[in-house]
Amino acid sequence: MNTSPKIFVVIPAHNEATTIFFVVASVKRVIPNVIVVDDSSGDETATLAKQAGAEVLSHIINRGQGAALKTGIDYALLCGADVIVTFDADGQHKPEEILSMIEPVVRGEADVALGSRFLNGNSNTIPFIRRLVLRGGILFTKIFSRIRVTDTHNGFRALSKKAAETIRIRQDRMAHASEILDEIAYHGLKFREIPVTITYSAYSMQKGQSSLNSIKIALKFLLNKLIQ
Amino acid sequence: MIVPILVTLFVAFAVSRVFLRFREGNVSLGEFIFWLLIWGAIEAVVWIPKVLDQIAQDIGIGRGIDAVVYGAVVLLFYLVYRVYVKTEFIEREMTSLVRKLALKEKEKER
Repeated sequence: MNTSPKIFVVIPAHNEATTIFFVVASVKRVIPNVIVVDDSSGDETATLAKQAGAEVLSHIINRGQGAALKTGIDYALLCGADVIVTFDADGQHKPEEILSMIEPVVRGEADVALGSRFLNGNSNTIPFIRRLVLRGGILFTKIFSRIRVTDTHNGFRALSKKAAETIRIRQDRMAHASEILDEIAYHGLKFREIPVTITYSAYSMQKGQSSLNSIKIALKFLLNKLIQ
Repeated sequence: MIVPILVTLFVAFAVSRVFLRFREGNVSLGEFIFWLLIWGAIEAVVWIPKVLDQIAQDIGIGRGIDAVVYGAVVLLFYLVYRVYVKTEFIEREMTSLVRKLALKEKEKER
């Protein structure tokens, strides 16, 4: 990429009126192209995202985070994106870390950059149960997708155009995170993990996946692998 | 004797339906024979329950009724699997529809 690459940030959002304005506004300070996919929220998510300056796409019925992400990625590709960043709407990621996230992809050293909360050495701030679940996810991914990563369920990633076109997200709901890793391994895409900071607020914990739910997600992922 | 008679009446009704659809050409000859065999087997079991016991013993299951229950469980598992796959397919279709609408709507805005 000789000319400056076109970078888009895709934020899937469902009922995130509390945080979306702030998240979009702060991301825009780093990367101007922000796409929010409103997954049929019952609140003002779409309006607030628009006010904050994001391009907003709306799902008329709720299809889940994986589906919303894919819609956003498709739209970014239509807009001619070279690099696509996926970012959570609940304010758990730090916008200023986008730059280090896209670096290996922009330089062409990796097709995919994956955020990892375990690389920066301060994983002690992660609640114990959550850490346990995430460790389980790592083992699960190693066994079933044969890919070694330190954080399997991080919504913060950067994809090259090629990766975005190659990776097929068929899992509408939360199992898409495992699916993306599975696809990376399957297509032999080059990936790199980038340390990121996750802010665990009461809000993001409540909005995020319950630890028990992770078992359900794992089962869903396996069932779908079986019927592909 | 009431159960076999009721079942026979129902089978006669079902077979007549299949026959009509066969005559209309909605059901192929193969399918028609398949259904005749199924309903015929049901008739046989209803009138001569011993047949079932004999079959059960031949395949190594004690009683005829047990064989029916086992068979039903296997069939149900299979049907649940079919429904699961079908639902998954419909969900995906729905998602791609919702996605297309979202993208189209955005195109209009631009």
